[in-house]
Amino acid sequence: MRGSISLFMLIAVLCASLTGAPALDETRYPDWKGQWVRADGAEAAQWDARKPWGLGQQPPLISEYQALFEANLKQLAVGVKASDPTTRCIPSAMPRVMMAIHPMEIVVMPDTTYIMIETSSTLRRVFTDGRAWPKEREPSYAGYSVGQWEDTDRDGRFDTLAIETRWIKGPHSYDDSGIPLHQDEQAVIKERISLDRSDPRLLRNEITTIDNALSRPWTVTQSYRRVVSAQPVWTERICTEDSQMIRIGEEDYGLGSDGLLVPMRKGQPSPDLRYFNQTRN
Amino acid sequence: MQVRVLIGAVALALAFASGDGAAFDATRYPDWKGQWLRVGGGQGAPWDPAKPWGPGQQAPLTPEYQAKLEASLADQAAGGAGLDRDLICMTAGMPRMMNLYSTMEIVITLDQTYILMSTFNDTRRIFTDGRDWPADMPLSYAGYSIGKWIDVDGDGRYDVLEVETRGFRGMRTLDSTSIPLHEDNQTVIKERIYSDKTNPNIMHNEITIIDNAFTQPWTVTKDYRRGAQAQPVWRESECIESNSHVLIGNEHYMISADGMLMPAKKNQAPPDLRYFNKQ
Repeated sequence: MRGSISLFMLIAVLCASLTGAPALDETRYPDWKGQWVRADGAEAAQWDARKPWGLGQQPPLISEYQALFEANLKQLAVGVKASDPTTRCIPSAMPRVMMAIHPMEIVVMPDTTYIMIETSSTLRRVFTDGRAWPKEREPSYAGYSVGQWEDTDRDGRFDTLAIETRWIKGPHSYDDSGIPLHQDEQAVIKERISLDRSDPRLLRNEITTIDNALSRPWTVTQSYRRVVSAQPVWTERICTEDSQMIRIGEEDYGLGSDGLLVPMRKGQPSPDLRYFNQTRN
Repeated sequence: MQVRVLIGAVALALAFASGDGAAFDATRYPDWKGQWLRVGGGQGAPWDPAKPWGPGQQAPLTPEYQAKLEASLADQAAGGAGLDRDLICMTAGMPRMMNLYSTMEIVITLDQTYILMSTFNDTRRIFTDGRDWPADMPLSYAGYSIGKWIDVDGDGRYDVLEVETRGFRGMRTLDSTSIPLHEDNQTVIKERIYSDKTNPNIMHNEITIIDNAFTQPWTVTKDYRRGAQAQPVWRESECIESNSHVLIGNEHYMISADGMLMPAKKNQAPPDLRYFNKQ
């Protein structure tokens, strides 16, 4: 018996000396490699894919923000998209970016898990090195994320990444209908990411938003499907190149296919040209 | 019997440690963790940090592209953007992003090395899985990169990452003077990335550009230094939210502090507002 223990220790020491301490023990982490896309399809552009777009989402907003949401919907109905900052190439921000409208990659490293999403070229760093929350951080669209790996079924392998994200910069909304988050930028997002227990091709992300625009925490689960390809295609999405909109002051204008400015709504005044000292012929 | 078990156990340990299969052995790769920043170059970050900004770069351009550069410099001198698209928050693309305008992180995995830039949140994926160039390569400003790890000194640890990048979109320029690359986007970029032999906190990147706008391959070495913070601050550099430059058609204008359109150049004509006049 003592000999077996010695032998086991010898193997352990040999392994450790040959591989070195910093090596990522991949057998302890879930296999989330590859390309993930939104499981509910790109056409389901609403935050909660199980519910209809717009008012059907039934976000638990306080009355002030419910009124703002309804005003946003009225503006959208007449073609004004001011409530959706992404139309001006402002990044989707957390938590909206986790809808994964465009492909996502997750790179698990010992100290950090990187979540890269083609939408707005988003890069999230989820620090899993056991750090404490810093006293202050400059807000960003991705926010500041601290994560913890959990082995919920105690099989010796982590299966769930629990993440908390703070310091998220606005303006931001949950989806393109303009469901608003509070302007105080105090939102806290909690996520639990794990593979579906019955289908490892599906990744589930239970996202709970705690925000002063909400009367209670709002939990929605986003689902992602792994693309079956050994060499998935990653594309660039350059919003400023594709954008057909320009903001001048507080007004959004369109850009026609001929490169000329076009109004975004009926009766929209043209830009003030007082700084030009000549008129166009 | 015990000896046989011991031999078997050692063989098992070696198999786990060998790096074969899917396991990633970090000790075989250089330690490039942390936050990297540009060394030298100063304001404007000329493509060759060893030479002066502007015409002093002496880019080996063909006469056609030398004329484009001179026209761009003249437009910039008049207040315009020239060929520079950074002003309207367009990604720098390769190889300009390796000027390292902000900060960079390098994440090494078995199959890929990721180069993560704060500027424009640019991400480079360098495939080190031994793949060939794909027949239908997706075109991008960052390009498609295939890399190979080299153990130059034979000490059992890789020390150089050789990268070749193709498959570009354009227009791309090399720096803010707008040294242009060819419009055919057939650029091939070769890089050799390695740590300084005497200072592991300095990294070198020998970048060779082969491009039809050039009369010969152009090699420049960039140097990066590792930040000292254990928990570096990663800032998003969201160009668009504070940008005061707009492109309407092919004309570059500016937005004034009071939110109005204004010319970028003296005597610049205002934009054509014909679609407003019809209302």
